[in-house]
Amino acid sequence: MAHTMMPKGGRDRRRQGLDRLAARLIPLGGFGVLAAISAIFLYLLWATLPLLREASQTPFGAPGVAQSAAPLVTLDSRGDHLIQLDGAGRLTLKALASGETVFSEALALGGAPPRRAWPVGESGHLYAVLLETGAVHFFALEFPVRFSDGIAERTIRLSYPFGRLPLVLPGGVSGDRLQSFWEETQLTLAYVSETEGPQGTATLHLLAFDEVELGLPLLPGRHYRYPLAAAPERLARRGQQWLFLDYGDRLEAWFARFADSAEPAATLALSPATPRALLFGGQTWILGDSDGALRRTFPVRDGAGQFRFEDARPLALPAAAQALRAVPGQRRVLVTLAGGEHRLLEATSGATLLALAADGPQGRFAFNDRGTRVARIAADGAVRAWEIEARHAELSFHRLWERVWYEGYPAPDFIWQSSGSGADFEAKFSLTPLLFGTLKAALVAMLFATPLALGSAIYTAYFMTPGLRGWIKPSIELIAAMPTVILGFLGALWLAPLIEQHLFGTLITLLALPGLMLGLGWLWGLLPPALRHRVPPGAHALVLMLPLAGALFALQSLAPALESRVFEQSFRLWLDARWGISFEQRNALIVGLVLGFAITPTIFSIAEDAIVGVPDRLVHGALALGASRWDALKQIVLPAASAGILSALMIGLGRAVGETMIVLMVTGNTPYLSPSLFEGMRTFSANIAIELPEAEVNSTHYRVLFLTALLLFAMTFLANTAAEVVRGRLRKRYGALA
Amino acid sequence: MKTPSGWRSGDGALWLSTGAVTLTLLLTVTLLVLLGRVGFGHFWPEPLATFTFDPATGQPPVVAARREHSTFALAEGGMEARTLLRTGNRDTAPPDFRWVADASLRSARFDPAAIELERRSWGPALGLLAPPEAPAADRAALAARQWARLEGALTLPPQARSGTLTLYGADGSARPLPLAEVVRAWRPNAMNLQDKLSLYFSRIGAFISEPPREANTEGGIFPALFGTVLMVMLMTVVVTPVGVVAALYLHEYAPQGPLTQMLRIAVNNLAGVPSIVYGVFGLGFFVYLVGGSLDRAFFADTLPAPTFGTPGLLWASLTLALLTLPVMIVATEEGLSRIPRQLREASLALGATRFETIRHIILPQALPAVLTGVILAVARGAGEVAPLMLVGVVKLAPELPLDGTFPFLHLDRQFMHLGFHIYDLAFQSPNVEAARPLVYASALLLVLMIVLLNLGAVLLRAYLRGRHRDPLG
Repeated sequence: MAHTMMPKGGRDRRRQGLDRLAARLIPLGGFGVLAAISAIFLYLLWATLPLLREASQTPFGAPGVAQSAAPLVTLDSRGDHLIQLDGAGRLTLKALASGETVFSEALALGGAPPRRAWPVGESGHLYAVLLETGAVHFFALEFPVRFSDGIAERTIRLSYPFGRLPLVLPGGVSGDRLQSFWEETQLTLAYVSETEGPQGTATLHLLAFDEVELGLPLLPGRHYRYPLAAAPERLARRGQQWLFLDYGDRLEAWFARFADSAEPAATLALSPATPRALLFGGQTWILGDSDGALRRTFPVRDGAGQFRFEDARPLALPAAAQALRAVPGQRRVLVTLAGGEHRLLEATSGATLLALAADGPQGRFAFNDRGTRVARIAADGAVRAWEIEARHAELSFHRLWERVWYEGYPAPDFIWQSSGSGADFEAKFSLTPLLFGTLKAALVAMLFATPLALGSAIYTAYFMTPGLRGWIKPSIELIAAMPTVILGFLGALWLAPLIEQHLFGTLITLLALPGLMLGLGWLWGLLPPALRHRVPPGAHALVLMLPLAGALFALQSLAPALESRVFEQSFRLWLDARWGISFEQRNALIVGLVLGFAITPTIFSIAEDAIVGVPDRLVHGALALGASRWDALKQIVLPAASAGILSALMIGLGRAVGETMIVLMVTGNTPYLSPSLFEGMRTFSANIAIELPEAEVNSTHYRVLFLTALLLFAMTFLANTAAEVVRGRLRKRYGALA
Repeated sequence: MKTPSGWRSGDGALWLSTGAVTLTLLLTVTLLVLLGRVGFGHFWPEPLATFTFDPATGQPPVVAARREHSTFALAEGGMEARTLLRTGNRDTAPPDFRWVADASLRSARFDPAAIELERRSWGPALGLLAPPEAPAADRAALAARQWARLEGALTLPPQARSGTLTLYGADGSARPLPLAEVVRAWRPNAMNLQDKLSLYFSRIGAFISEPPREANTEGGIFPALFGTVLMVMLMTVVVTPVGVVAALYLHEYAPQGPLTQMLRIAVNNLAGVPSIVYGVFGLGFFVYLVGGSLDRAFFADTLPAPTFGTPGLLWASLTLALLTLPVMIVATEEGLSRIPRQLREASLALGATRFETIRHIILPQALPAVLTGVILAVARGAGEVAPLMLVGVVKLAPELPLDGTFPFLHLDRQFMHLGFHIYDLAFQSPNVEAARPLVYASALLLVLMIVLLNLGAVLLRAYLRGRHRDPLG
């Protein structure tokens, strides 16, 4: 090396040092950048992976003792305390972690012993107590945080939000046939009283209190009475829609809205020994079959508007279910198998979240309000608790891609419905309609873009003079730089209403375009040669712009007359009447046109490069051997450029699959599986744009949206890589030819 | 090259391919013409006519501008030609746009006393400066008097104006209009071409420099323009050095083997990854992961209200920088590969170190390519909307992200963006008809911006190629 021979001054050393530094830093920076970009994929994967995580359970807290037969044994909403109300009316709270009693107080129940107590509403701190006198009392437990010496400490506060006097129920409650439902500000009590009357032996009472607020006395409620032929054994309600009357040998579903008269909307006959539980959401009953299957049944409205119970796919169990218990806050069910083993199941997927060894059918379970902590109180009073981590347990391959029979639906279907009203809404994450929509939009777009782009590419590369090509190519490529939000808004606000008005004309035009072009070419041939030869080669495309515009305009003007002659009404009405094809203003046809236009320059540009890249010597050789220009194109140029053209199409497809703004604005975003050209769709990308800002961080919904982003990434990345590999091969082949 | 003539084998296909080019060009031209016509046309003072209707319809006469004309298929069969009238006065006589059947129109009179007022609220007011039925001389005098008073008032700031203007309807009704409410006023039927031109340009100026009013359906787009430019500038500041370093590594330092080739392909492919995916990454990684950690580390006292753990300008710029990085790298590397080897070798032979060669020989030579990359990145970044919807734009930002309060540049603020403004106006606007011309005008502005930037890149590239034709000259 030359510089090592030179004397090294301080300046030289500095220069060398700087050089070495740069030689370290630039690769570091450069490699870091490239690694960072690749990290996108890894991050998306990392955010998606928890969806695959198996449910896990960890034992939690110290073993304790509780009365398994007490009127109330439950966990508080966070699952920190075991709450117990004993038969004498004493309320005790034990910290699960330590097993210590942290609170103990006799409830002010007016001396009446409690018969049963339960949490009111699916979340919150309100509890109801049914007294032996048949009256109902309410108490609330809150856990305010108090700061003492800078340390936050959770304290326990017991209160009587509706006052210290019990609520006396008109007619009296028979047994413990009382059920409460609380939503927003309405508290509803349903109960049965046994009375001898002309119409039957029992009465169903509905007592509704409006504008309920904790801390204020209950306002006088509305009271509805419905005579019953016999007293049901139990009442069950966990959702807005239904109140179920359980007679032992049958279930009756009643509309839980109030009217002067009511009757069951649907009835299901059962064997009295069937174990049963009403799932969270208040629609689905889980029923144990003697052969070891769990039936899932719910009322469904049939075509005639009548409700009947319908069974979804049953869940398989290793043994017959002996007892079933519903879980709060989740569509999960706790099954006690014939051997005495307990299992916590995800009711829609059937996944087992927790399995406990046999300790007998007696005893009870206590849950917190989200069902994330569960305590088992054995018959002898021993308490053990578990923490259940099963955030995304309801998701499975089946639910993402196959038909799922959701409660309330008449049949299994692909449904994407990620959010709804109410806390008990069941999210439906079927990716199939979104994938279908994505591919539908992309393929219709390709249908329009392919002929346009390839035709343009062939013409520009093969027939135009280089000078003209130098202008035309950038002009077409300029469309690629056009922000897609502009194409989208023009498509939705200008093109969609236009096509809605002139649907027939549009379809005719699209079909007639090739013929129109051929016609114009034929007319061109009729012009005097002197005139024709004044147009330089390849400039025909420019010269023909005005005639083509004129022809299109003429076609559009003629279409209405033709339309009324042929169909005697509007084409859209005819479509609907004759074929039952409905028309939405924002549909696949418009997406195809606009998105197709947007991806045309991408395909054009790459395909054109591929055709130009075919060595001229090949064409000249073919022409010298007597081939026509067209033959040379067909036999030599296109086969040689075919790989490049294919890669152009793949990159165009990738663009179409991932484009967001156009589909967001032009499709109507309905996530239905509809192959119709005149109906819209929802694509992955639009779905992300619509829903991700609203999705709760790290929820199942959030992660499913990340999964769709990952799919988009993978789809486009693979298409592009394939295209790149194909192009690399192509370059090699040209290298061999040159 | 043979000129096509007559019908020979393959001529059909030739004409079809001709047609493809023709159609593509025709569509492009249509698009630009459409945008230009509606977008530029919006600022031109429309003539106002007093329309009277067939008495059978019971419609009172109205002062309005013709907006659009179309034929509708009737439900009971047949077609009807209708005109869309812009009648303004959303507060007193809604709706402000109405379709009327051409058959019911009786007369349209262009009254010189007709006036259009842009107001601070309720959109434009249309009316007459003098009662329609009064004698001509009185009308002219009254209209001139009112106009003079209005012109005088408009020279004052709004809070200093007092009094009202009396606006007459075509049916003779009169109503007072507080002068403080008026933003701008013109009498389109009494204007000559010069007046119209000057009003036209002043309205375009106001559109660019004023904030929006009335749920974005009135006023200008300044905050959106400002937000776009600021975000793109921040993005450029990030993407340029990073992109250049990555390109230098790929071209100058990396061993040219299969691994580097793979990296190159990966970078190329990232340009094809949908922009929404970058948005998802930006939201999850920048906003929730990085921003959330920043908040916990430095802004713990304001939690749970997030500071950086929420979409904002910084995250939007970084997301777009990532999105445009492949463009930048590819353009720079292309420039680097155009520099002849002799230059490098000569520099090294003279004793310069590799870094000195890069700094003093390569980078200056590659500068136009870097600039091309910057322009292309800016053009791409300015037009992207989908990722921004996830990481920082809002439909209406109360404050600009750059202002006089410390620390002046508020990277945590959400901002308005021209592209999102278009989407929002077109789809979430409460008054679609009123917003429509503004959408076109905003879109036109965005297109002009991007076309100019791309044109700049094309010209720069041409210049660059010209310069390197004789590399040692």
